Amino acid sequence: MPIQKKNPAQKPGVPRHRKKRSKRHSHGALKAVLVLAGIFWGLDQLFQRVGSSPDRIVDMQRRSEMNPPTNPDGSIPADSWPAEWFEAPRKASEMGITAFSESPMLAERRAAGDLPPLEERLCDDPIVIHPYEKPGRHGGTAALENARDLNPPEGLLRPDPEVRRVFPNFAESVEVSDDGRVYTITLRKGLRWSDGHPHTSEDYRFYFEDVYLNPELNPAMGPPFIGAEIRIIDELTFEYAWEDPQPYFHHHLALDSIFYARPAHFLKEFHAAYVDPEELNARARQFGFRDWIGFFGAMNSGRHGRNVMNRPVMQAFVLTRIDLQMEAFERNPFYSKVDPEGRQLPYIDRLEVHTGLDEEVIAARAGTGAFTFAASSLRTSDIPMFKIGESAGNHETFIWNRIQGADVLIQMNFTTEDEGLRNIFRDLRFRKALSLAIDRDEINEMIYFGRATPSQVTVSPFSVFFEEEFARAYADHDPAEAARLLDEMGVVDQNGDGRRNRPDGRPLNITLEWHAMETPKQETMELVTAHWRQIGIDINLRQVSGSLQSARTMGNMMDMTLWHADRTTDMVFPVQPWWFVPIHRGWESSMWPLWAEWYRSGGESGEEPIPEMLEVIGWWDDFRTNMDENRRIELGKKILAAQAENLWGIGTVSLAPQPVVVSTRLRNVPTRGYWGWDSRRSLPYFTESWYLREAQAE
Amino acid sequence: MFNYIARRILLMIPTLVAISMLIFFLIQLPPGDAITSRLAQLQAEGSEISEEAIAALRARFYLDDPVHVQYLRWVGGFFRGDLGYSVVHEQPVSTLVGDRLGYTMLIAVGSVLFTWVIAFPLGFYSAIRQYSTSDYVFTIFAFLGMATPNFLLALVLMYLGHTYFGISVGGLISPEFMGQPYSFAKLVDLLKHIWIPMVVVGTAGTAGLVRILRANLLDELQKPYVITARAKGLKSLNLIFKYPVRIAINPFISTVGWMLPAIFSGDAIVGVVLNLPTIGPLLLESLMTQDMYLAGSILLIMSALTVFGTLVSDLLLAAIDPRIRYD
Repeated sequence: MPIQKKNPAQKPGVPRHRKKRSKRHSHGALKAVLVLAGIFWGLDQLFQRVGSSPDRIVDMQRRSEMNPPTNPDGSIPADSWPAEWFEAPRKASEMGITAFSESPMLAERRAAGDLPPLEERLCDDPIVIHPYEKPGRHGGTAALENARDLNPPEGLLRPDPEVRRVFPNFAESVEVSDDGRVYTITLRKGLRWSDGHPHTSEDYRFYFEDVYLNPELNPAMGPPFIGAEIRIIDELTFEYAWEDPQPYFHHHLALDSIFYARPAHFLKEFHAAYVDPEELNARARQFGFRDWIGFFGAMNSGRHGRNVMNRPVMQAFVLTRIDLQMEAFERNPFYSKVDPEGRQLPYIDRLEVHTGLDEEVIAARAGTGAFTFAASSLRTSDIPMFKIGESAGNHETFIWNRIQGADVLIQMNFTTEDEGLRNIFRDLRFRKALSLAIDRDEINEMIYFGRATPSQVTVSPFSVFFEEEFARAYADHDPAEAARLLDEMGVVDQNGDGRRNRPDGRPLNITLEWHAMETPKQETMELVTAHWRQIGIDINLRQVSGSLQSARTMGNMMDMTLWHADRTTDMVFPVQPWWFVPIHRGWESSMWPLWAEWYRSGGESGEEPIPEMLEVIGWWDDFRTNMDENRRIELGKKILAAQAENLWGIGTVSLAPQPVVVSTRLRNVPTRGYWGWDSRRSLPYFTESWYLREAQAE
Repeated sequence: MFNYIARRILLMIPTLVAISMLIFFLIQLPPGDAITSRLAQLQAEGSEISEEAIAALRARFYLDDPVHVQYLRWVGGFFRGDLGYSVVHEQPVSTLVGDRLGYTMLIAVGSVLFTWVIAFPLGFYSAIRQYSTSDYVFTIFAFLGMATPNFLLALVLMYLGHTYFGISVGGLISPEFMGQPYSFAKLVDLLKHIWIPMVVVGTAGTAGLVRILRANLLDELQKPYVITARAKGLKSLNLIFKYPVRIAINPFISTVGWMLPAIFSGDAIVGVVLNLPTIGPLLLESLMTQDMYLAGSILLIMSALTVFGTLVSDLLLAAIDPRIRYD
């Protein structure tokens, strides 16, 4: 047979044949394992060799210490920053500076005829920024994850490092009439937009009248500015006038983006009141917008609130390019600030911002020193990773403090639809019990590395409204007293399942919905629910998306929620005391949606608050229009004392550690600072005076 | 044959209509809508929002209309080449998708080629040298590849890439090349990054295909016609390529239909982990923010590509496999 002929060696016999094959199997499998092991060993050796390049020489003085000096109340000593940062900035003439110099990059552009000489670009008497360490050098490119970090929007006024007072920035002065009804603003003479166009009163009038008060562009005016009027006096002087006295309007000028400089000469081109609406609409459609309103919105704020390419700005940097994953900025050639040696600021020439990055990727990149500066998206829990990464010598990790009265604020809904729950929430004994049951020291140790300050929610310790007793109110850990209070109010375990029931016998089911943002809310609630379970209170946690958080808080649909209690500094608390007075509806608060509606509608809709709260509202109405500062401090303290007494909200820790990852090349960055909404992150720390040390030859 | 194609194409129309309705209504099911997402975004930027502002925003995006009117407006736009408008991004959907299409297709086509180049020889070799050492090695790798979730592989490769080869974490282009005009150095940099998503996306498919090809080929190799051909003295390689491989290759062809939508969208999870500028992460984000025109349009394009791709692979199969005939 042909088969046998082809394979003469093989003898017929099934058993032998099978045996032989199976032996070959085991042989093959054994070999395969050996080969694989060999491959893995080889790869491992290769990786080790590639990885262990000779240690880089670490040349840097350690600017960050693991345990920086801290006041007993957890705040940062005020001498951590130059004394000049707590005063109005001085002008070049006062400092005797007469000669100015510019970055080589701009000198090139000037030589090419693109720019007028420096003296014509600076304003008549530029302000002098006192650098943190020492005057730096021009040049370099900074890599960021958030443009805001080194290019914060700047307004007429700017806060000090403790966010207590505001000082002139683009404004030369802000005068308040005695009755507090008229604010007169004088702009610095000779300021220019980044395209060289003069910066004048018209920029402010245009934005307030034609945009903010335009019902088409802004269908809903926020309550603080109803009844306001803007009057132009001359090119550089204008005033805002009010029916009511406004003791804190200068805080709005420093904080609210609607009072920030907008380039009227640029924006008018997209505004139907200044160009032919038909043509404008056609142009809008060409760019894919439905009408000019969307088009104007995009040119004004850009998508996601970012800038539009080459839109004139007053800030330190101009957006010059948008790619899919990067935005590039160049220095503003007309920026009118100088250092004590007359160098035009900013020092840094370019910013490269990596956009659309996942939070994990940002953390991983920051840990390898890939960013010149990063903080906005960094989490407390990653501090050890950033510290470990320091050994490569590319970056340092500064520990700033989040400027928040409570890193996690636990909120109960006093106007929830569920009548039974509403009565329980409104019983002060219940709120005291929940607060006393929380072990804040444990939270501090386990989540914040012991670097936060256990505290009840209140204003910052360096605020004029602060009293120590506000921070201590029911902030001790006393589960026995908590259980006693619950027993006393009749919230007891009626069926022996270890969980307390409502007085009517139904199980006490509370759902806490929260949106993960900025602070370690999940980690905190894991501990807090365990603390509460010890006193027999079991709550369900449910994480929701930002849009659900928004929809459900606004719709009065939440039992409990969380937010971080920012707005607790002297600059922001007096204008937005959202955690203490029911004046605000938004995704931050689900404490009293119906009370807030009642207040905002003047009692027409919503629900009248309880008597204790009506008293607080009375103080607030006096506070926001009273021109006597001492009286205002007294009223502010009363509002905060009411919180300490009534525990509208429950705080955990304040002034939590915020990692700030800084390249070893980036200088003049303060080692301590307050990070958060109130300080507008890096704004008070003069980012325009941060510079890049020359790269050293490696 | 012509009748068959015509019938299939006609059938696509009701299929797509049904799919588009399903997509549109499913996206609307969860509570909230794109406006609440947009509000969340505005509030994150510090704006104070009132009821009137919400109503005005709703009206501007026609969200007050009855659902069927919204649906017809959306579908009607397709005939004018208008894919709708993303409320959250405040940009036309076509711009958003168009920006990312290039990279998406580059990675997808790359990973498909990777899959084929690796899977075909491995599967072929494993089959003709069944139970040899190399068969076991390939089998172990194939199972590892199938069992490892893509995103995990992405993380591991990203870590290795950074630690041992100094490739920047995530993304397709190193920071220093971003926005620079295309040059040889930039191309090299792109190639340095793009292998990670290609390998990650391709690995699972490779593993699966290796196993399928091996199994199919083994089945064929036992068949009498192969034995007969061998008996007649046909050269081994010639024989295998000419007959059994042609049949065993069917799974390659029938996956062409699935590849089209994959090429369009890319792998969403891998895209997120590796921070790729592709359409997958955009789709994921749009679903989470209920940005219905963006999500709906991407899903509908993917469905259309799936339906069309299935037809294409059926026709290709008919062309390659003589046993399959349509009437």
